[in-house]
Formats: sequence, structure tokens, C-alpha cells
Amino acid sequence: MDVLTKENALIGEKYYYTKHKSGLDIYLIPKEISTSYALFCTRYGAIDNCFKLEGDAEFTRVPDGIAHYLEHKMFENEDGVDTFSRFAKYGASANAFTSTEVTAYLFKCTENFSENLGILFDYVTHPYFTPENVAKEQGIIGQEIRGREDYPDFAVYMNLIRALYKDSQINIDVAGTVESISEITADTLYKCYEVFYNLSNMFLCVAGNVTMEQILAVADKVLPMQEVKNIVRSYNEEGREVANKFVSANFEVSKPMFLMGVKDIYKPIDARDKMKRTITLQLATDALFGDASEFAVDVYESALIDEMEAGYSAGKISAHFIFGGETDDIDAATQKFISYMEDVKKNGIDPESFENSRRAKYAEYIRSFESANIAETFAMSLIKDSNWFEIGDIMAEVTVEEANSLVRELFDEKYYATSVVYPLEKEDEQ
Amino acid sequence: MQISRKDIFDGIALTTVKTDKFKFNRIFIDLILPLEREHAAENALFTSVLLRGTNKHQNLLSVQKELSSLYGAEIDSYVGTNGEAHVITVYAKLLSDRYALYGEDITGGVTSLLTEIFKSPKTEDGVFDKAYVESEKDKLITDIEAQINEKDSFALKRCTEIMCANEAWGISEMGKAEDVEKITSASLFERYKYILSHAKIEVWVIGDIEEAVSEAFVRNTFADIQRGEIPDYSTDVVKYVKEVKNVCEHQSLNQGKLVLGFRTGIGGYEEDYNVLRVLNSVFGSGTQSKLFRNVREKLSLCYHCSSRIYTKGIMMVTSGIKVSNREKARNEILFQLEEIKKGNITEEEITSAKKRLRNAFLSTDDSADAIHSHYAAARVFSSEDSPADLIEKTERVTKAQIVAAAQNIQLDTEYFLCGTEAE
Repeated sequence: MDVLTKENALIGEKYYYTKHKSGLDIYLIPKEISTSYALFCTRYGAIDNCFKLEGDAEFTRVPDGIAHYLEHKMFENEDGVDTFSRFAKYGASANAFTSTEVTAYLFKCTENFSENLGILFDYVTHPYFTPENVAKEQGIIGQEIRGREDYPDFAVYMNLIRALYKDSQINIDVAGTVESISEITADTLYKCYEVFYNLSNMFLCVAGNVTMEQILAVADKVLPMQEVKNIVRSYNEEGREVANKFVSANFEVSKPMFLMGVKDIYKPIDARDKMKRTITLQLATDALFGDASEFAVDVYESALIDEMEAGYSAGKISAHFIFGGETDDIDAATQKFISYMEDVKKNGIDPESFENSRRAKYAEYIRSFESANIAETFAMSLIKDSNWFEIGDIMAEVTVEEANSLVRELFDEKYYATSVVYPLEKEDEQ
Repeated sequence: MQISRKDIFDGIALTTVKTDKFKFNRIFIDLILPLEREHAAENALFTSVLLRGTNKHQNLLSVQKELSSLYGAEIDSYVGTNGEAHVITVYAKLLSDRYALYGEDITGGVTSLLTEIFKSPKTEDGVFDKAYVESEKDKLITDIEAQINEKDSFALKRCTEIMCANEAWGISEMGKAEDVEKITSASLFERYKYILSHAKIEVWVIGDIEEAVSEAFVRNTFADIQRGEIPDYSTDVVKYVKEVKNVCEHQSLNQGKLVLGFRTGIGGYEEDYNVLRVLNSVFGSGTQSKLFRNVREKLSLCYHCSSRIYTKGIMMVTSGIKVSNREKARNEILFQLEEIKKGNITEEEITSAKKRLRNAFLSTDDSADAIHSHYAAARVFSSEDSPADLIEKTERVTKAQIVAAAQNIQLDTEYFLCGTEAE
């Protein structure tokens, strides 16, 4: 097994990579700190609801929220010992999360790294689903869903995504719905597990004061040998048109909240091209809406928008810019944004602000390597076929002209969608 | 990592944590005052006015442009409570000079700006700029009103207010909207002067900034201040519950938010607080705890159910549940506490609880923010305990001590933020 070393000389950080004989990709960022952080990830999230293995005739379609449900159920063990207690014995704090594109099982510890890694590898490679333990989770996840439904900021966001995208799988709520999860059975969980929890679809990412030898010794002992499986995923195509220009909901909130967005529909040439486009648009966003921008200071001083936010993000099957905040005057706030972007398209981004944003972004980038959390940042970039270690170099080469040209392409009022959460008492006026 | 603390002026100390482990340096200025109804709003407001403009950088745009040119350094403030102390923190986060691309003096730029912010805020007729004060008052009121948006923390806050209606701890760290209304630029300026001369001031510099540079910064910032007596910010720990309060409030919600407020009788950094930490970890903090394993995993009543202890001598249990499961959840939470009181705790539960705490203490040194919160929280109670000291004290806690501490825990307030039944 060859171990590759990749170094970013500018910031003095490096990582090691190797492919274990089981088929698992392993990444290690060595750091001389007390905490070690390990994430065992599968490239499987809420968007993967339609799939087959290469050679299969038919696609399988599964209920919304199943990846997240599976994550919860991975913590069951055949011998009845619960996974959290196993970690607790070695002082690790363990957890897991599911997002649109990934399911990650993780622990952080300051001692007994090898023992904890052994537990992580072991429980994630040993599913144990029964009708009883699957039924038990309905109440827990049901309350997770209900609890989130009470959060207006979650509603305003999810409503915007569904207004922007017509039938992309990005519209699926990671936790599913109380109705969709009621269809989940032990059999469907096993079916998804067999496809997506193949080691060739997974990777381990670690940061901390550990060595590759240490990791490989545990992998040799615990991981089963597996045949490579080629997964075919079916994602719905999405065009520029929005599903809805305007959506609203009512909540018990102190003042109206809003988010506006625009989809970025394009075909990247390769992974680097996608990374560059993302960084360029993020730098543009920082220059245009960052704390030191005239726009941000203006809406702060005039109190037109509170808690203003603006950001560009790109995932595996989605990319969009989102702007919003809280305001007493939805029309004025949205108009302010629309006319600002028209001005920017005409006059371009101020080059000095762009340079300052680049430096701030560079500082933020360096900061990301400060703690063991770099393991998670790095893992999430790998999920998007990106590579966090390369981002610094790309950041340095982007020009303000490139940013202007992307901004002119992306911001077109025709394709904006707006989502609003109004306070309850205003219900009658809408 | 080298930690040293030094008194610079009367009641103003500097702690430097010298390390090149971090890529960013952090400066925290903690202003410690008693939590009082009549001043809470002013305490919460004045730092945001300071951040609006200085004599040199007269408006927000100018301040932000300066920060932006310093590699996007951040200067901001937040307010919190620790026991019945009101702690106002102004902080700076800045890239270490060793990463400056063209040898810029980031530290010099940020510390001068911080000094200006404290020393020469923009004034008008000898008091704060009126427009800035009015604008920040509106924003603080907006923030106070926006607390209703976050349902779980809103329920926790309501339970606290009801439980401690006649105690300082029942006062919100942001103050009340009606008290914010009454503030004028003159009254706020007077309060600012008072705070600089009377608050206990703890400055923390964490990173690779030279100690001499840090000291010069503190000397410059707080020079020429006539220091007066520091008001008492100690905490009153209530040990007995006369009558259990039970309050149910309504909002349009899909889920009920249950909060149980208990009196532990043990204030922050008393020796028994170490026992309480272990007890809390056995009872309701973490996935190895009784509440997680029983209320969530065994009975499937909720997604989250956990307990938290406060230096005020209080423990809060929070959970999000189906409205119809209220009694069931409440009874199970109380039953699990009874189990501890009866001594029904296994050795494994205690070991796991201690290991969890040990892990958290051992990882403190990996984060500058964690280092600050650890030492700054201890400092309010005049404790010097390092994470290593707390590991040792945690290790020594016995089952008998946990059971004894549990015997004194009493339910004070049951609060339910009640939704409409959705299922």
C-alpha cells in the first residue's frame, strides 16, 4: 500500500492518503494537538433516493428521509450493547450526521484513538435492523422532524429551496416527513445499506496526533474485504426557471423573515473548474455583502434588514446564491437587493474591496487548519469531489474580471425566488 | 503553552496564554459587573455603541474598512451571565502576524483600533453620538423581541424567568425592552464611564503576541481612568424550594417544549460543584446519560432530552415532546433522578461520566475560545483551576458523594410551552 503525501507549502499543512486493501480511501491530516477527530463517511445522503447497481435492470426508489433513518439505526448492535456506551468506555464523544450528500459517523477523543477507531469501523460495518428496532425509531425521528418544523428559519430556507428547484432531489428534507418515514422497513434499510455502505463508496478522514500505521493496523484487523460496487444514481435534471417566484408561511416570530435566491445552472468542465467557480462567486459575495461593504453598512445603519446574510454554495446536484434577513418592509428589502445587483452588473465590483475580501478569505482559510475540525472541513470537500488543500491556491489566482463576468451571468431577476415567513397576526393581510 | 496573569491597574488584570499552536490570535476583554435589573439593558447596549465609531473612524463603514484591510480581523462583543455576574465581553480575532503576506503589522492595527474603541468613542456634546445610541437601542430591542423565534431557548428562558422571578438570575442578560427605551446618550455615557472605572476587568491575550505588546495595549487602553470600588457580583444560591411552580404557556407549535428547573444548592466552583458535574453527566448530559438512554432510546419519547447545570446552583432539564406525552416524559425524568438519589447507579455509568468530562477537559487546550471560556468562567468565582486540576478533582468524586448531592436536588419549576397536537 503506497502512502501519498500532499503538502500545501504556503500554509505549512499536509495530508497523507492511501487506499486500504478493503477498498477504503483513508486520509490523515497530522496535527500536534490533544484532540483527534475521525469521520467515517459514505457518499450517501438525502438526494440519493433513486439508484441501482451497475448491471441491474431497474432503478430502486426509496422513501424520503431513509439515509438519515439508516444513520440512526446503525447505532443498534446484535448483542444489544449500545454503540454510545462502547465509545463512552474509551472516553470518546461519538456522533453521526446526515446531509443531502453524505452520511458521516464520527468521534472525537483525546485518548485511546485506536480502540475508538476499532469501534467506529466495527459498528458501521455491522448493520442490525429488526422490525422492532426500526419501529422504535419512529417516535424519536418523528419528534426530530416536529421540533424542526417549529423553527421559522428552517421553514424559510426549505421553502426557498423548493421555490427555486422544480423537482431536484435537493428538495427532499434530510429527515423526511412523519408520513414518509412510516414507510421505512428493515428490508429497505438493508437494501440501501448493501448498496451505499460498500467500502469503495466510503472514506475515512482523520485529523490529530496519530499515524497512518496506527490507522492501517486497526483497518487490517477490523475491516472486511469487499468487492467494488459501481453505483448508478439517478438525479432529476434542473433548468434555470424557478418553481415559484414567491412563497410564504406564517409563524410566531417577532418580524418578517425573508430569503431570496437564484440557482446557478452550469456544466463544470472538471472538479477544479467547479471549485474555481465556487470560490470566485464566494469572493464576489464577500466583497459585495461582507461587513465592510457599503451595502451591508447601509442596511445596518438604516435598519432596513437585520441579521443580513448572503452566500453562494455549491453541492453535488445544486448550486445557488442566497440573500436575506429580517425586515419590517419585505418590498423595500427585496427591491434594494434587486437594484443593487443591477448596479453591480453595470459598474463591476470595486477592485479594492475584492482584494480585501481575498485577504480575509485567505485568513479564514488558514484558520480552518487550526483545530481537529479540519478533518470535517476536508471530508466535506471530498464529498463534493473538491479538495480543501487546493482551495488556497485557487483563491490566489481568481481575478476581479472573472468575478464580474460570473456575477453578470448569475444575477438575473427573472430567475429569482423569494421565501417569506410572516408573523401570525399578519395572516389576514396576505 | 505558558499562562501568566498580572495586575496592570487596580482591578484590571492581564492574562497571557503564549502559544504558537493557533493561527489566529484572540484578545478578550471581560467586563464583570453584578447582574441588576436597573443596569442590565445599559450594560448590554454600550459596547455596540462603542463599536459604531471612534474619533478617528467616525462611522461604521470606516471601522469596518479598517478591519477589512487587516485581513478581515473581527472585533465584536457579546453579553452573558455567570452565576449572578453580568459579563460583557469585547473580543478581537486576528490572523497571526506570521501569516501576513507582506509583513503587515496586523496585531498593531487591531490593538490600536481596540484601544480607540474603548478610549475615544465618537461623541457629540460630550456624550455618545445620539443617532448611534438610538440606532443601537432599536437593534437591541429587535434582538430581545427575536428571542421568541427560537422555541427551545425561548422555553428555557421563560422557565428561568418564572423560577427566579425575585432573584438577579431571572434578569435577562440583554435587559428588558422597556428599560432599553428609557436610555439616553447622556445616561449611557455616564454608565460607560462608570463601567470603565468600576467593573472588574479581565483581559486575555491568547496566541503568539509578545507579552510586552499585550501589556502596552492594556496600559494604553485603560490609562487615565480613576478606578473605584468594584461592586459585589457574587451569586446568591437558593437551597430550598417552598412551593413547586407549574406554568403552561401556549404558542402555535408542532411540539411541546418541556423544561424542568431544579435547585441543586451548589454554586459555581464550590468543591461540590465537581460532584455536580459528574452527577449531571450521569443523569442527563451526553449519550451515555440516563436521560438519553431512557427517555429517548428506551421510551422513544423525544429526539432530545438533556440536563445542564449552572453556577447559580440550578439544573435545567429540557426536552421536545408530543404534547400528549407530557406526563410520561416528566415522570420518567423525575424517576431517573430518583434512581440516582436511591443510589441506583452502576460503576460503568460513573466511569463513563468521568471519562466524558476528562475528554472535554483534555481538549480545552486545542481551542483558544475554549481556553478563554474555561479560565474566564473560573475567574468570576476567583478560581484558578486549570483543566488538569478539574480532571483530578473529577477523578476523586465518589458514588456516595453523587448520591448525597442528588438528595439535595429539588424540583422548583415545571414549564411547558404547549403546541397544538399535531399527530
